[in-house]
Amino acid sequence: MALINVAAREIHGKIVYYGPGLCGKTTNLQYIHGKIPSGTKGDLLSIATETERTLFFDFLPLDLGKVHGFTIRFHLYTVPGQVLYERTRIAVLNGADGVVFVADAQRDRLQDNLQSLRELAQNVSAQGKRFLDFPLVMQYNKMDLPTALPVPVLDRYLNTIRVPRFEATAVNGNGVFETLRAVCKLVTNKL
Amino acid sequence: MPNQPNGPRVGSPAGSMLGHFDPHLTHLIIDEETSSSITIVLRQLIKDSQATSGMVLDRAGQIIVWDGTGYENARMQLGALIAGTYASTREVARILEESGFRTLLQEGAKEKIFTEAIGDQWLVSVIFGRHTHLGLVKVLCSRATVDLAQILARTVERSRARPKLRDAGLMRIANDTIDLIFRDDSEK
Repeated sequence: MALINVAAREIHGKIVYYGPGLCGKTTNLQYIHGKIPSGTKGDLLSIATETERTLFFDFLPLDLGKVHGFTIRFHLYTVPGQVLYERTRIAVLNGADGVVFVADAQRDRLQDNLQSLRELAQNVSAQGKRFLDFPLVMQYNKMDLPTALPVPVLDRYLNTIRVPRFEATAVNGNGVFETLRAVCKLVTNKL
Repeated sequence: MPNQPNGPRVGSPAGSMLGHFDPHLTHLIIDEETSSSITIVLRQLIKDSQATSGMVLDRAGQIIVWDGTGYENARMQLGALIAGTYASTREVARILEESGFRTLLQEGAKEKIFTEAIGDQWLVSVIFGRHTHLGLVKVLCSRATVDLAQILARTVERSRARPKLRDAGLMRIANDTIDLIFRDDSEK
């Protein structure tokens, strides 16, 4: 639920990057953090395991600056993708205004993507929200790899509800900002 | 104050006051009146408990009101972490088949943070030092959550009654700013 603080002249929106383990959620935030001007971003906070896998979440606050007298802030979160952290994903997803579903485009990850997407739909519904109306953007990541499935195949299996989708190679930034812009606009347009 | 269909019930614990939170409410509008009312309650809580600072935040980690000193450059991170930790303890409670852990204490050598749920959607957190008694903070927080729950319940009702922001100018400029700022060097 976006917070419109008229007293402080601020609008806050929460965006969660969701997807299976090792699909590139944290890489998206690291790339954004590396490229955004310093006045626009806060510190990237990562709660990770010793082996740099996300344990709880990553958090990156972004500040659009003043728009019509309001400071617009987006809080970007990632969830831990590993299967055993399902309850943690529910906790992080709480109150999200928009979601980026990061799919790993590789052929052998299709089942993991499907399982994660089904779980996302269940978790959004469990919050009392209608998944089909929920601001959602899909990112097909790792499209540079030879094992990546073609986009029409990914569309057929993952994007049956036809949300905006972007091809990406997050490690070098391809598609990262297109995805971010799309989800931010979905969130602001819901206000 | 009379009971309202989805509003607070006088005399009921704070936890039950906002039990019917509307999940379809897409935004919450904190107006000047709400902000002032929350600040008054929070400031009194900080003063009476001799805490250094406190905040009221939503369960998504967004701070509604901060009062007190310190942590100016880390408040957003604190809000995100406290909300995340609280959400995590709630999941632990579910596994233990508890209805919920309504409070959370984080205790360091110099500073402590006490967090208590306000209904189903908000939290109040108080940061205090070694000279403040935890028992006092607990009692005062518990009292404050009743007042805060009433204020926030009224705010939810008002937000529900208001039409969507739908300020075409704001949306257009926000979208233009998103295009301008959220881009890679190679796209410029």
